[in-house]
Amino acid sequence: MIRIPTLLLLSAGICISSQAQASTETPPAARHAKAKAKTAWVHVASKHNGSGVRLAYSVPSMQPGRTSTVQLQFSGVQGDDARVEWRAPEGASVTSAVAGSSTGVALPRGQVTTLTLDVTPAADGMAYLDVFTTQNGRGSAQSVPLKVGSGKVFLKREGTLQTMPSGEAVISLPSSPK
Amino acid sequence: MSLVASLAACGGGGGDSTPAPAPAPAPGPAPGPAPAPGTALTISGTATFASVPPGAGNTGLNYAGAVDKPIRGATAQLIDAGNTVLATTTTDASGNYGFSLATSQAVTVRVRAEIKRTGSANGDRDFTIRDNTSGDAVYVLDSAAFTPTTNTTQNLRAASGWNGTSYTGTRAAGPFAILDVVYDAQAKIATAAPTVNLPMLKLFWSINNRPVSPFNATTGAITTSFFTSAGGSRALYILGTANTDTDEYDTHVVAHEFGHYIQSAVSRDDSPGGSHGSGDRLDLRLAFSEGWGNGWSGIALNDPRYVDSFGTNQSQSFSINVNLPATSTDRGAYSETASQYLIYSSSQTFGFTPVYGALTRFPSSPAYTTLYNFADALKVTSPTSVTAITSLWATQSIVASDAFGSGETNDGGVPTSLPVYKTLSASPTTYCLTGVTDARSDGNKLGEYMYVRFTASGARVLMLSKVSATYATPTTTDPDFVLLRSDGVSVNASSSVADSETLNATLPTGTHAIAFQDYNLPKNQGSCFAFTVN
Repeated sequence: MIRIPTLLLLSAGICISSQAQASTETPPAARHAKAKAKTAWVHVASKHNGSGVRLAYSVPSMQPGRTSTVQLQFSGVQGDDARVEWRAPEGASVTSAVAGSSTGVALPRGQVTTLTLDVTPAADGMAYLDVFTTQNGRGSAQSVPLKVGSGKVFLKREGTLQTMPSGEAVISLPSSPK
Repeated sequence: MSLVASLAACGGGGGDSTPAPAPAPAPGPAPGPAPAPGTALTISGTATFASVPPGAGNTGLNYAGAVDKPIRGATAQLIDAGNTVLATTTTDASGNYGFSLATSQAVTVRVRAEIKRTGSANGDRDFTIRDNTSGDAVYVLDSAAFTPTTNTTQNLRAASGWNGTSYTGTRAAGPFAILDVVYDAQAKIATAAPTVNLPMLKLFWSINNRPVSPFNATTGAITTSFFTSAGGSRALYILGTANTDTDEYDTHVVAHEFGHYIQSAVSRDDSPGGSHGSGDRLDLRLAFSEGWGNGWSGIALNDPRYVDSFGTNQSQSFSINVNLPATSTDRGAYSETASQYLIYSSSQTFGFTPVYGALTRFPSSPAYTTLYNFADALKVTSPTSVTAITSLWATQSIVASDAFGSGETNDGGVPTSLPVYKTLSASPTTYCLTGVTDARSDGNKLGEYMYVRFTASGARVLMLSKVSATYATPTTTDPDFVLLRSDGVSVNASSSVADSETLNATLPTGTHAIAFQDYNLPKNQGSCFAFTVN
């Protein structure tokens, strides 16, 4: 991982920086998976056919009711129409001082953009900050995990989990009238 | 046990690609005529799921346009009050099923999110939709328990759970929407290979499945929808988190990933994987693999419009028409768009059977899985179309005479990319890589891999060693390579040893190849390595 940060702009809560970097992220299906040196940035896998904008994030451990700083970094911006929108986790407060928008900004072509967001989670557990990027008419959705307190993951479940006499586990979904 | 026998699935109309509308399901069993004394009861019905299509333009999913479709080819079971399976059958192409029951008792009809058959003249299948956040449990759709005293119609319906503005009900249709894509996909394969056995595939979908890194299946952090054959077992993970990205109704996304499964199952995929974007000049193997996924999705679903929805209420989407050629600046064997167009067009023009046949010729090929190799194989499986195939490939600025890309003149702006395969005539010979096409430093673009052929046999030592690099950070290079033997067997050599990579290999007679890279190569930089075969 090469990192040569060069601060270009600091504007009312949004940091826009430029840097050269090597890839550390490969989707799970990738064939080569050698470990890279750990950094503060977590690089997020990209969906095939998606926006092509690369997302990395840096998130500290968080506590309910306390404001923490979350950094989002975007690279791979090759179009003039690239944009990012974000959505706060349920019950959480997310603020930025980005001029003109509190939920999204345009991403400048050819630059690495770093956004700094102030996040105040409401409750203990794992929360997710959703990040939507668009470019060249395509889009991607990615979630940034926010470990709040215990960071416990609360899973939802559809239907009823059953164990059959054979030992097989099934999830029984109810048939419904139209 | 009072069950006499299970019946074959009831007949009915409806083809694979244009299923007949299912009859309106009833909320509970509908009693029919009383059977004659001593005659078994008949329990039959239709299983359907709510299918939500994409909206026009890029407006996301069109819930208002949802229609009920039959659950086809799925395992149906009759279950007693103790959860014992009394009988098993398979729904037909219209979602119909039927059982017989000797005496009245409390039962439930269950339809599993599963297409499974063994020992069939039509080839084995083993596809199950499972919840990776619930112990990999298989989804099933259950009727309410009922006690038939006469012949009974028991229809089942999996609802979407959408209430008009959000998901508030059980999203029972999700697993069956995915299964429906699998049904179409495996049926398409059967048109070309009626008896082929396909290996087991587990498809994991959960409403907890989020695009979160790093991967953790049990918490639903699956990074994105993807196929994997890691550990020797094939699995497909599918996103399911509403308002973020959920793919159960994004049929082409599911079909794309199933396409990777098919290539894994009946062919060979040499793609290095990794991130890529629209218009990228890709490593040739990656371009073919992803182009295959997209083109195949159009073939399998008989619909060239690839749509992927996401966002709040699934109200955003984008689409790709795989029947459109690449733009003039994006044509070449390195283009995913050119690949998807050529694969889809080949199926439309020459038929799917030769396309499938070409794919299955990869495993024994000494050439990497690229558009060159595919064209060469397609000319074998469609021998009357050789001229037409050459002409079609030329529309995408791909001109080559064989599986190795001999004669290609389109270098994609990367002079070192030609010839496509270098020939090692003397050891050592130095070859240079470039990251000039890789704006995001993904490590999988044109020029970042080099293919070198060599002729040797017996016990050999293959070695790459650094000659030079244009970069100082990192301080070392990290060459890796994949050996492709003359018999089509590949061997990875990807240690983290600085500035060199060595493989002791036993080679069969013939000409082999390596595809090598510098794992540390930064964008816009270059590095050169000497390749030696001793």
